[in-house]
Parts: sequence; C-alpha cells; structure tokens
Amino acid sequence: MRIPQLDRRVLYLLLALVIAIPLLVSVPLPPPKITPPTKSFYDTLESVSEDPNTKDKLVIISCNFGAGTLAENLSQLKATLNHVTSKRMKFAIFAFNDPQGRDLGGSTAQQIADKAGYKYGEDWVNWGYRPPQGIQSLMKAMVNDLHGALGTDVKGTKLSTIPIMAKYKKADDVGLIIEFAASDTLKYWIQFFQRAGSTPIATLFCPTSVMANEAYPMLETGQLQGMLVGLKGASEYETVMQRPGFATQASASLSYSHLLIILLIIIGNIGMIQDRKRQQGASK
Amino acid sequence: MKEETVKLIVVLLGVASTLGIYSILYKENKVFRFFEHMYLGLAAGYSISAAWNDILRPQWWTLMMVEGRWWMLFAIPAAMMFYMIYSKQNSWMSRLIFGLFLGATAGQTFQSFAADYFPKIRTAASKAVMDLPEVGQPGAYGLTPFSAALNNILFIVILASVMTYFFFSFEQKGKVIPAVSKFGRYTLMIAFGALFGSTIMARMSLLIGRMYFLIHDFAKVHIFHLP
Repeated sequence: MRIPQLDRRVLYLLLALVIAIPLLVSVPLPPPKITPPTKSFYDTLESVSEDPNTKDKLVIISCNFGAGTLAENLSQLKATLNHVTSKRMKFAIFAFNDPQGRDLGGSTAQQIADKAGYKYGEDWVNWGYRPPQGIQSLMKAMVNDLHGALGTDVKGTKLSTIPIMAKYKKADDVGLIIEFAASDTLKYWIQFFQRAGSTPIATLFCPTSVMANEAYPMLETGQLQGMLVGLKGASEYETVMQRPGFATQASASLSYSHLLIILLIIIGNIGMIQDRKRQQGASK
Repeated sequence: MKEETVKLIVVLLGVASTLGIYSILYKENKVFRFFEHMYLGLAAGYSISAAWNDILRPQWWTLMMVEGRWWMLFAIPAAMMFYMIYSKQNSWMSRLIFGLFLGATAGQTFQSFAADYFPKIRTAASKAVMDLPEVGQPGAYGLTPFSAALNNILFIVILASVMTYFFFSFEQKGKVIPAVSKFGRYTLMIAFGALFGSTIMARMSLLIGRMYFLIHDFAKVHIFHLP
C-alpha cells in the first residue's frame, strides 16, 4: 500500500494510542524548560504581590473561555489561582465573552479558595458575566466606578454592599489583570482599562496556544508583562510552582503527539515525492 | 437522588457525548448528528439563560420593577427600533438606532486603535539593536543581553523586509528590492508555519483533555474504582 493511500482512521488510532499511553503509564520525559514569557509571568505576579504599592490591590481574573478549551485554560487558571491565593491576594472573577467562564472560573475559584481558607465576599468575589456587545462602554465606565458599572455580583448582591469591594472602587484600585482567553478578548483590557487609571496596570495573558503568536509583540511593547502559552505554558508554570497537576501529567502526551505529527508530515512528504517520481516515470 | 448517583450520571453523559462527537472520525453517522444538534441546542439555551439571569434581570428588570427606576422602560421601544428594519414603512426608525450605535462604535475605535497599535508602532520605530531593557521592564521578559540584541536585529530586518513585500505602489525591479521582498515572503511563511504548529498544539490539548476525562474521571474512578 502506498503512503498517501493509507486510511486516515489508522492515523487517528495511532494518535489516540500515543496520547493515551502516557496518561495510563508513566513515560519518562525531562522537565520542561521554562520559557521567558512564563518566567516573566511568575516574576510579575511575585513582584505585584510584594510591591507595597500594589500588594493590597485587587487582582482581576478574567475568565473568557468555555468547555471547549478546558484542557488549556482551566490548567492555566488552576496554576495561577494557586499562586494568587498563596500570596494572599484578593481577587475578582469576571467573564464577558462566554457565560461558561463565569461558572467554570467561579467553581474553580471556589475549590481553590476553600483550600486556601479564603472567604467569599471578604477575600474574593465573582462579578459574574456581562455581554460582549457592550464591553467597550462597560470597561470605560469601570475605570472610574466599578460598583456602578458592574452593579451586582453573580449572586445578585450589590457590589457596594460586599465587604471586599469596599476599598476597590476604580481602576486605580486594581493591581493586576490576568486574562484567560479562548478568543480575542485581551484587547478590551489593553484598549480601555489597562492605562486608563493614574498608573498602568500590570497585565498577564493566558491564551490557548493557537492565539499566543499574535500576543508575542505585546510582550515587546510592554502591553503585556507575561504569558502562559496553552497547555505547555500551564505545565511550565506548574513546574515553577512545584505543584504538578493535569498539565504536568499531560505534557508527555502533548510532546509525543507532536513527535508523531512531525513524523507523519515527513512520511507524507516522502510518499508524495515517491508518487511524483512514479508519475514522471510513467509519463516518460 | 444520592450525590454519588448524580455524579455518575453526569460522567456517563460526558462519556456518551465525547464518544458520540468523536465517532465522526470513523465516518458520518446519526449518533454524531444527534450529539451535534444537542450541543447546539444546549449552547443556545445556556446563552439565553445567561442573558436573562446575568444581564436583563439584575441590570434592568429588578432596577425597573423593584427599585422603581421607571425610566428604564424606555429601553423597550429603543430595542424595538432595531427590529423596524423588517418593516418597509418604518425602517427609518431602525436607521436612527443603528446610526447611534455606529457613531458610538466609531468613536471608541479611535481610542482602541491608539491604545492597541501606538505602543507597537512606537516600539518598532524606536527599536535599536542594543536597546536592552532591564529585567522587569517592558520588553525584557527574561531575555539575556545577547538574545535581546539578536531579537532586535531580527525584528528590524524582518519588519523591513515584510513591509517591502507588501509595498505594491511601484514595480519591484532591480536586484535588492525583489531579494528583500522574497526574504520577507519566506519569513511570512515561517510565521504561518509557527501559527499552524500552535494550532496543532491547541487541537492536541483538546484531545488530551477528553482522553484524560475518559481514562481518569470515567475508567479509573467508576470502572476500576482506583483513587
């Protein structure tokens, strides 16, 4: 049988095996190399949590993802929330692109907050979901009046009556923005919120890997201070934090599946060249 | 119903949905179509529920009906104006509201463009080969002095060659311009390759997530009763 004629279902089966085996049995793999965007992500969170000007400010955890990108975004979120809570930073969950982000972010935050001894309303809050259609106007309003612009939290309680929000009223009270995204939502923070206060707010980005390429220039320009690139970034962060989780377990599957794809591309090209030579030979 | 039973039902539904959706990889079939339509229906229902529970009720209905902000009632005729586009006689009303929103969006676009692109243009224009930011400063993100210098050189060369490639105002003649343009095209190809590689990584991550669910959350816990 010629390579280009190989049934694609055989390739799917191969891929499933290559992914499943490292999840079933421990497959040796060297620890991931920590890339500069991940290191910078970690350093920024550390410096914000230790800087006297920012350590008591609010961290906005913007969860703009759904079930479709759980493997990437949820791993990033868990690793980041573990770091945020270990530094005793106050945080707010917010979603404005996908309503699932409100629930996924909220339930994950609840689990991690419970373990860290955080109390809802005192140490963290869930602002809930707002529609993407009016997000530009909402963000502009949030700059000077978080309470008035957002109104209530996810439970319908007015923000002005929630203890944690008593000292967080405007953009100047925000010390860090962390965006977890499955689509192009980071731009709203960059365009309307990040530099609207008296000082620029440090911003970190956790995109799916397919979106990361477009964000690299923002690390150069200072619009972003760090980035976790997909599942790989989450795995690196778990390594830095020395708290292995799903991303660490999945990194072997990810690496070997990439090796298989590279191998298949090479084999496919060899097959194509052979076919071309055969056709040229037949035409002569 | 016991909590354990509910958890088991949720996991079994997840397993059925995952296998049903992935069955398309074998061939087109009715099970896949069923789960595809179920997913679409669930997503639509979920969005409607979120629109009412997170937006309309707390931000409009409660304020109007409970707190007595009666003027919020005017949101209804304003919203209805959008739908006048379907009436030949009254379509002028839709143009009013659309015009209002277009104007507001256009105004915001100036701000969004400036905040998004000006720092990129400024960085690109002021980039010097030995412009090495200190650790923690914008642009540093963990680069060593040598890699930062190399990065800057590559940035300047690639920016110039890609812009040359996209310069269509005159015919690219001679030896230098076509060569630079060709180099720009190759660097674009490398960038597209990197994008494609990232896409593979994203798709693999999704598959790994589902496989992990099938192996750990379902098989290990509910079939083999392992911790």
